[in-house]
Amino acid sequence: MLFDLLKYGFFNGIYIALVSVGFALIFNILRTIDFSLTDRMTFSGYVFIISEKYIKGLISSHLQLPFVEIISILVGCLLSILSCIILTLIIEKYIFTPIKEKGTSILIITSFGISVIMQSLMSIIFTNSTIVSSIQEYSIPGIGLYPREILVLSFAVTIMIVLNLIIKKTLFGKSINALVFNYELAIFHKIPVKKISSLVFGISAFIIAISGISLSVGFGIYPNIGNKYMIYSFCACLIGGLKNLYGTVIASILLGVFLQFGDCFTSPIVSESLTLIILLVLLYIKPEGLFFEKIRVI
Amino acid sequence: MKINKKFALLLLSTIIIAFIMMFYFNVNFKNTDIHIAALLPFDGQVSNFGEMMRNGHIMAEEEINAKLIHGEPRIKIDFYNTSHKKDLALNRMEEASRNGIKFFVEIFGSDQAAHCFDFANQNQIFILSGVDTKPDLIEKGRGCFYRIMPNDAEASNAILQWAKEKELKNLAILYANDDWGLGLKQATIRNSSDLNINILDKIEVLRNQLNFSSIVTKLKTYKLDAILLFIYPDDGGRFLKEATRQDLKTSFFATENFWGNKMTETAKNSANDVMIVVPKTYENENLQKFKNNYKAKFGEEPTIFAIKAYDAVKFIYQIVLSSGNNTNKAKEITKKLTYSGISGKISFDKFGEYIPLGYDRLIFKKIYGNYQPIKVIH
Repeated sequence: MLFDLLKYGFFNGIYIALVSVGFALIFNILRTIDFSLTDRMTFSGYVFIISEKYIKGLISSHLQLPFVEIISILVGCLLSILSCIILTLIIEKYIFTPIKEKGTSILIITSFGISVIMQSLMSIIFTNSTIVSSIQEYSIPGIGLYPREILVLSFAVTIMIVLNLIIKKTLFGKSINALVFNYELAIFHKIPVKKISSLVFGISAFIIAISGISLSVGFGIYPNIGNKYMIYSFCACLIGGLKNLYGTVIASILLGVFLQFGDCFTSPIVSESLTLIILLVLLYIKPEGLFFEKIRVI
Repeated sequence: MKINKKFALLLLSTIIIAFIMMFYFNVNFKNTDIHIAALLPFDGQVSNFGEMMRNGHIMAEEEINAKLIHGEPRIKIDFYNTSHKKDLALNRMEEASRNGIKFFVEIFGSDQAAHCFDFANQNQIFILSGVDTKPDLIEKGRGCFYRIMPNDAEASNAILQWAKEKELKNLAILYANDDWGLGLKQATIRNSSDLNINILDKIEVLRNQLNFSSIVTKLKTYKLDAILLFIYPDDGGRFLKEATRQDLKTSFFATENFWGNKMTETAKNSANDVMIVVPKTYENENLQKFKNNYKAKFGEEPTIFAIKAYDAVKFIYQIVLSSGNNTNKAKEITKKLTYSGISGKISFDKFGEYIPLGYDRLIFKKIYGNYQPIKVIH
């Protein structure tokens, strides 16, 4: 039982980690939390389910190709990721960038506004009912995990390694670091903020789209499905320290395991409340987060 | 002269429009016609139930209006969306009441119905439900509320009887944390001791709960013979999927709300062998005719909700005719009336509670690629 709780808690934490990393990346550019991020995750889930179903129907009735399932899943994934990236870049370019200098409170209200509008639009278009994917999943015997979950884990590990390499070894990464730790100084040194901002938003969209696809296959999708993930990921970001990606990931996994044990030994309602209480206590004790790295300011 | 011509033309066209409108409303609705309302959820997680019931209502409305004998009033149903929210249900009832409606053929949801009882009693409103199952609703309704669906105590008893016949002794309950789920859980705990059945655990499930892995892990530690699922169909589907993933080998029982495609769409192959109890319907010519017409009109088999909704409209039409549109008389007549619906005989005890006809046992099996509930002969 203990091992199972740890195992499923770990995988639950991976989902939270993907969203948290998305939050943390955007935070470092906007210097505020983008609350509409999880709605873009929901959007990508919808795009995947609809496109996968449509393509499967199209291939089965007209093209008579082999591996219908695999082709439709791959094309569905591609469309979902692309549409999520395009939507994110549009929001970044036409909404966030023009108001970026107007202050954190304006950005927070705007991201809330986008979130509300997106949820309303998805409710109107897709209704509030849960839409489920037609994909039949089979777990790996003896392991009790779906291949999808192993893929998501591999993706999460790869993206963390790649992000780490980018941040440490490339000029782009150094520019991000410069923006994170001294925004004004970075602008003074003519770092191309707009370009970096678009790239970071694009990466976050890619990560979030993967988690939206996996979520839609696993549980189905409804307009406000992202709210729960938003709260957990927000907690993980605050516990881990928003400026530390590894800290955020570790905090997310710990949170996933904690929630798993909480659900099992208390109830889902109690474990959710406990999570928020622990967050408040941690913020009181260590407001900068558990894994905050002290930076020597020159 | 020009002005006069324009004025005459305007006057003439106004008269023609007024005449057309008068004619239209006269043809379509007379003051003597029966005007009733249905408060159903058309959005949110239970909107599919609202749609099923509306389909049943529409079928009955069309049939009544098509078969009118000379002088009989037509029936008109106004549908209001409650989004499965208590306050919205009360607002809609107030709105319908302002429009002069005194007879309600449905308030979907026990919580929603109970929330409207004070207003209904103050305004002499008559409510008939084909879906609300909370045991104490009749008592709480103080005469304004009737139903043609057996209450939860009967449903839980039917499940426990089935489990006992299959010699399943150690059970666990998963219940939705609302009035409906709590009512079923409490009724089952009460009934289980009489039948010598052990309830090893009772687990609360949130609406739209995504992750069931911890619950399944916990349930695996018991040696369970069966799990009773008093949760909503999409949550149930997710739970069954997780149970298959973790190889939880046991029997699963649920109530009529698993009938429909919500649970099977989510659970897919995990829906196999899930057992449900559904209020008994006796196969008869009228029921078969209804099933055929329903399938032709909506492209799917009617569930028990559509059948009960159809019966509810037909029944309330009879009540309104017999009472002369008087709700106080209607309340008295209802207790005494016996009506033969397509679902079977509809009658009430001295308290106004529906006298149940028993339960059908159904089991989900794959037929032509889809999971469907098949009647079990016992």
